[in-house]
Amino acid sequence: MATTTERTPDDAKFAQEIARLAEAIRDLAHRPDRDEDPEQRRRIQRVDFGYRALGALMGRAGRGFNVPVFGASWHPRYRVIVLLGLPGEVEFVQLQNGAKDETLKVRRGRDGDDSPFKKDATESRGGELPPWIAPETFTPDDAISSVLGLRHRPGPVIALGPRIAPVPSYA
Amino acid sequence: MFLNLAKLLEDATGVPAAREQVFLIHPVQLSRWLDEAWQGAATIPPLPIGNPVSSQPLLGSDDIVDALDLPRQPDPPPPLLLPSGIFLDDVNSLASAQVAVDRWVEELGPRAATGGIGLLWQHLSYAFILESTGLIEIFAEVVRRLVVGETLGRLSPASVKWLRATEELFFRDPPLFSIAGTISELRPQARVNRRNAYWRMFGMDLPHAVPARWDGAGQAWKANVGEINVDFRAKWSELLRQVWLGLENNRNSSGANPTDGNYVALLARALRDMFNDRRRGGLLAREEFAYVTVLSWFHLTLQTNTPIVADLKADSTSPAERLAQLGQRVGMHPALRSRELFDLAEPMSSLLRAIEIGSFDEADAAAALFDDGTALALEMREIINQWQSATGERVKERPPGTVAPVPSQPLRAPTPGSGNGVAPSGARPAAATVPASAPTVAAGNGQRA
Repeated sequence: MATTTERTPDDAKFAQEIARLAEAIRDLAHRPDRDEDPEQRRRIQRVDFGYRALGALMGRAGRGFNVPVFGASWHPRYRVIVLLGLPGEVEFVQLQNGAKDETLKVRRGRDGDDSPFKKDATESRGGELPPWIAPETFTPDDAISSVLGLRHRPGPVIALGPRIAPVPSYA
Repeated sequence: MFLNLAKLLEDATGVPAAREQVFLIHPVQLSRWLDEAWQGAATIPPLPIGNPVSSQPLLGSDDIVDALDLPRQPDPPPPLLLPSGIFLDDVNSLASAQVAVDRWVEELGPRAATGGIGLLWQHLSYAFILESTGLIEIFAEVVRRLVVGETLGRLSPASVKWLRATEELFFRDPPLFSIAGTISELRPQARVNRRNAYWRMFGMDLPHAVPARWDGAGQAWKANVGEINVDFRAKWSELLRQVWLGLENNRNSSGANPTDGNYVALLARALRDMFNDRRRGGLLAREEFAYVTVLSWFHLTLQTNTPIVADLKADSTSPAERLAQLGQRVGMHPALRSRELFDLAEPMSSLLRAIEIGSFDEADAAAALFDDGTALALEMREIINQWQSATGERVKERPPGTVAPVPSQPLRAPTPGSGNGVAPSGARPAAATVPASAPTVAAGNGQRA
């Protein structure tokens, strides 16, 4: 018995539709995850970091809970905040309290005219001078409730600093 | 808090085995360290990160840590208030591997080792979940047998130190004026006191009864408590269910997606307000500190084959197995689902603490709970799996065989006050006052075999 392989116009249209559908499915599979708002991604990163920092302070280990922490305090003589144990990849530090917010580039060693170490080489601990920041908005009279280490100015947050109490007797 | 100290020791030395040095430190130092750890909590920066305006005060009050901590001390401190002497900043200069053992340094507190940031203790749920395994009753019997007779055999010097510290820190009156001193003539039984806190905060009882040896006056922990969070479990389960929906549909790019970040945030706020209602003015902060401290000691004891575990021939591969072996030595058996409870305790504690301080108050922040790229989402999967297995509550599943679509949310929005209940003031409340959703996490644990 003979069979015909000749396509009808309907078959061709159907095949065309199938091809178009397959193309659409492929596009869907290969498109970026979501059209995501960068601000939303930044917020989620901060919430996630905050959660991991909380876990680290609660003594948890593993699964991302090894959050770097660093010390921060006003220099006893110069109007800069010295950052002890700051991870090398932290390029900016964000200071916050309920009323103010300031993000500052981290200065390392004697790289500025206002460096606290320029004239005072004895600040060195073990030969390595600690990084520092020179706040403009915050003064030693202010309580600083949050000190965060950022990789870039907008984020991500990668290290956690302490509260800094006001120093009323600052010279 | 002893998990924190163990982590500090591990971080300072880079050696995981250093965690066990906690058991070799003299109990007087450990007791003093607890007060320093409490004091250090005042320096914890506000979390959630970047959202200080809407964050809730830690522990229900910004002033509770200062209200109960030690007086300000001059430097060096006077002899009356000697520091714990546990100091880890200079460990690299020490030749000894045992950095904190038989050593005392005139420096204050745990802050020195954490860049000036204080440490935080676990949420009360940590104590509740771990105590549900029957762990305290088993250890109480182990310690009792060890100090009254020779039925458990001979101990190594390291285990003798553990035994001494355990009895002195947790099975006798705490030192005068210690922050962990939550026992007095007015609330003389630690067992009852802990149950009282669990009842108030979660509206739930431990799944095992107080052992007959220590049983006092019925369910005394339910007397005169005022409001309790009866509705905790229903809201908690609903939160897990909603987060699971989010995780399930996180990568959906077509079709229906029942995930609702706003509703998850609403649930988180309801739980937050529920907890903070019980914490007003710093209520339960000190009790929480004391109770999670006790549980963290025993948890740490079971995390590895510590000397006491080895001496009692309870070596095994997991805390639950070690607890079962120890129980066997004294004729007791832990909860059937101990393994899940051990795995659940820390993640659930972290999550509830984060909820309590307002980390997920807004929809875009709550989205982090089911965003697959975060550590938080991994944690949520773990919590959902362990909770489902420990309680038998099918968080992930929807009723099978239904033709009509199953609603993804209940009709009414959650409110923190709607489920709160007032416990009766009588010393022996009627059985009907126990919430219908009393936990089924572990039946028969802590009972004699």
